[in-house]
Amino acid sequence: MDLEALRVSLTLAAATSACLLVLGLPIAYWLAFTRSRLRLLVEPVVALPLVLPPTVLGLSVLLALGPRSPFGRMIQEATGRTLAFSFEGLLVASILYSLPFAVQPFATAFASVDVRLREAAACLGASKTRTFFEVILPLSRRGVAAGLVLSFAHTLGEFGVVLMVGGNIPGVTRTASIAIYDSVQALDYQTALRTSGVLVVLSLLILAVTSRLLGGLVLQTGSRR
Amino acid sequence: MIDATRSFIGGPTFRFVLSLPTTGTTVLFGPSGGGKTTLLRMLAGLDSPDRGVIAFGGVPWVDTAKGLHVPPERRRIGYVTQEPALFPHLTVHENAGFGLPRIERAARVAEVLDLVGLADLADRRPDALSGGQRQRVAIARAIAPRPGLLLLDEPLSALDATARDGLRRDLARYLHAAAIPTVLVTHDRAEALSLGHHIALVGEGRILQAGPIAEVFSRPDSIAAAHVVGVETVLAARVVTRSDEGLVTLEAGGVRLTALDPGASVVHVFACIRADEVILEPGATATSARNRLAATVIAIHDEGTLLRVDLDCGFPLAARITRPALRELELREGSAVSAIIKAPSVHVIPRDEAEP
Repeated sequence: MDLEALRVSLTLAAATSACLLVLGLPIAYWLAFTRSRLRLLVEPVVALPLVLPPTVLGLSVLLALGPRSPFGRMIQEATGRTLAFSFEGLLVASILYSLPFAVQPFATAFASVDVRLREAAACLGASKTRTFFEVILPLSRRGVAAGLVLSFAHTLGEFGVVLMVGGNIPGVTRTASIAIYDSVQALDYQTALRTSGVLVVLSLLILAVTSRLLGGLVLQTGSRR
Repeated sequence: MIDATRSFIGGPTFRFVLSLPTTGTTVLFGPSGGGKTTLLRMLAGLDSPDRGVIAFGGVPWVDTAKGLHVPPERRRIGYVTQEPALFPHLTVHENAGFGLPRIERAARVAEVLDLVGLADLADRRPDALSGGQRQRVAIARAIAPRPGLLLLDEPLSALDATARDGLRRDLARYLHAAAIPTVLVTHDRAEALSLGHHIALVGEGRILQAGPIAEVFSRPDSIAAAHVVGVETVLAARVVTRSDEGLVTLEAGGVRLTALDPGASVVHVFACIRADEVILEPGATATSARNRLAATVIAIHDEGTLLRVDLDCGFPLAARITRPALRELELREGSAVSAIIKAPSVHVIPRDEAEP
């Protein structure tokens, strides 16, 4: 069993969820409450990874990160290296790929907080920021947890994107799902099965623990009282 | 000071022009759909006028010409809605303290919870409270930061009758203790009379009349205002004679009525008569006594404790009577009765000014 690949997978999934918490909350807030027409454009872009083949997304990220794109060059000049075939590059791709899995539950949860509570907070002098952190977020914690668990699990199982962007470097970008594929290619079914088994148990454990913590179904988004 | 216009797509256009007294409680009174809540939400900053100006205590809040809109969080207001919008994840204590700076919180929350009699329930969550208790918390929460203006949107209407009566009495006490200028939206006459000092009648998307509450209720100055304050009979009438004693004789539907002289030299008037002030006596004995009219019962409507009797006495007239009175008079459709109206109960509104 490839423990190193499992470690990479878990690190990547945790890092992706953490980044999506920081990145996803403001995007979800904007999507939930904006009256701007831009929303009609942003919403499908955020949802795109749901329908796009992972290889297409992976290829786009790879090209964008590579030394031939302006963005890739900028990164190279700033850091002295390219993000293609690196853990950081893989992280960027994973964040994009899991974006809808975090943002949509977040936004649904925010939007389902009773508008009168937001108005009450405003009338009591609370700024938009304070209203968000003291009213909207606490009442959306189930949706936020669901988004984090979903994006974690989604990243754990990611294959196509990792293959395109990561390049299968052991200990750096070789994740468990790739390791399983490699084992199968090498006709080493026993290793493949063991790694798969660990993934299954791990996923079940995560879901069970979160469900326990939230006192209910994880996949039920929005706030329930 | 308010001059605000608000249009709704596919809906009515509201235009409110009003100066609010800076002390006491001003009641916005009128039927549903007349724009009371819209006006209150514009005062709160939760809704904004399409055109107009709103200023409070000399501070401009809204000036659409200048693109000015002060958001609710910067208006220093207290706002209480029909259904108390308490934060479900916070305790009573935390709810009441939400609008307060941290250092003042404990002391002031204790004070307001004491005022509304809920100090013992400070650690409860809203879902463990009764409707009346929840509304008390909402009121405590709104007055805790000592706002410059308190806005109450039908605060009693979501409560059952017992809770409503209890809170109505207490609310008067809270408002007195808080001493904050208050705007109260209601369509309940008892609520308006028991809590209000001033009143603005809101109907047809505008302010129909504003002034001291007793004056507006007893002397509506237009037909629309009379309908809003609940005058059942409004008659087009003509002044036929004037006496030296401050009385006039009106003629409406071939019947003569005596009323107080509205002054000036008006001829065309509306005579407004409240159903509560019409007395019924058995037998259609038209006498020469003033305002004793022979009438026929057209219909009898059950209004709960009271009954409304629609009469024809040359013009349509509504009277309101009790059940014992109905039995005593043995009224049914077609019965002949006498309707008696005291002259001061015939409220005369000059007609030319009545409807702009």
